[in-house]
Amino acid sequence: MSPATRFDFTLAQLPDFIVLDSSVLLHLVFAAPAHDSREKRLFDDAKTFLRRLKTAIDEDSSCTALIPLQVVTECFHRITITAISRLLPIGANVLVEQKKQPKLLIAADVPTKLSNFIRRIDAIGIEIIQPNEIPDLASSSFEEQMQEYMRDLFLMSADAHILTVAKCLEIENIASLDRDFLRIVNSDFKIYTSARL
Amino acid sequence: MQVSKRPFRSKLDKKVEETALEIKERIKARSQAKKAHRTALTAQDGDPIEGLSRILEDVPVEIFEKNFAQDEDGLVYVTRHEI
Repeated sequence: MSPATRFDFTLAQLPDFIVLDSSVLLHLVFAAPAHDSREKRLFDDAKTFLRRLKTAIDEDSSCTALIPLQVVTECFHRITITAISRLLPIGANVLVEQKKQPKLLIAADVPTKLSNFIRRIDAIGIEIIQPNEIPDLASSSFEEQMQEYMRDLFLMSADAHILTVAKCLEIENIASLDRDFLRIVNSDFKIYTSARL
Repeated sequence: MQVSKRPFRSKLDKKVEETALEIKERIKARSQAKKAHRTALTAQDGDPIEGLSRILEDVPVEIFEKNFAQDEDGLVYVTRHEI
């Protein structure tokens, strides 16, 4: 029997190192509509996972949680466009309007929001992988590995980037609430996610 | 317009080859060393996990709901770039 590759991140013992996909953090930043019970449960599971993670990091250092800069970029982008959209009519194209009025970024208080996001990540104990902390792969370049994941696992480039960083660091454990990541069990990875996904 | 100016590095740092294991151990040590910092941040800002959900508290719920789309099982969070 092959070893387990999918774990319920609200219950399973957390591994020594784990890379988080942006979806786990975004589920908490973007609370689900109150009337949707399934999304509410995913929100609750993400919260439970982060609490377990924080305990494991703080109490006995039994788990180290990491995010690539790609995850930071994705979260920054989502926070930015959502903050700006508050200042625009419903249905307006945020990216087009922001190009026309770049100072919307300040009017929407985006720098404070991004700073608050990083402070929360820092306080939970999630470490951001810096560019000089990504070793070279032995067998291929970073971008070749990304392309392989896109081709073999049908992933978008941002997700393939996150997996490639994990591969470079020889970390097989990924936490995600994105269904696309469920396919990574067909590769060398283990997925930590909600049982309800 | 005020733009903070920082010089580019004039010389690249000497590259030191580290294995994945060495880098992970370095990151782990960094995380362990920041425990007091995390405690201070939590004392100052409150529970960071609850805090994630407050970052966009000034954004109306109707805008939030545009982050979700209908699929066969109900609503699902989607990564939309146009909102």
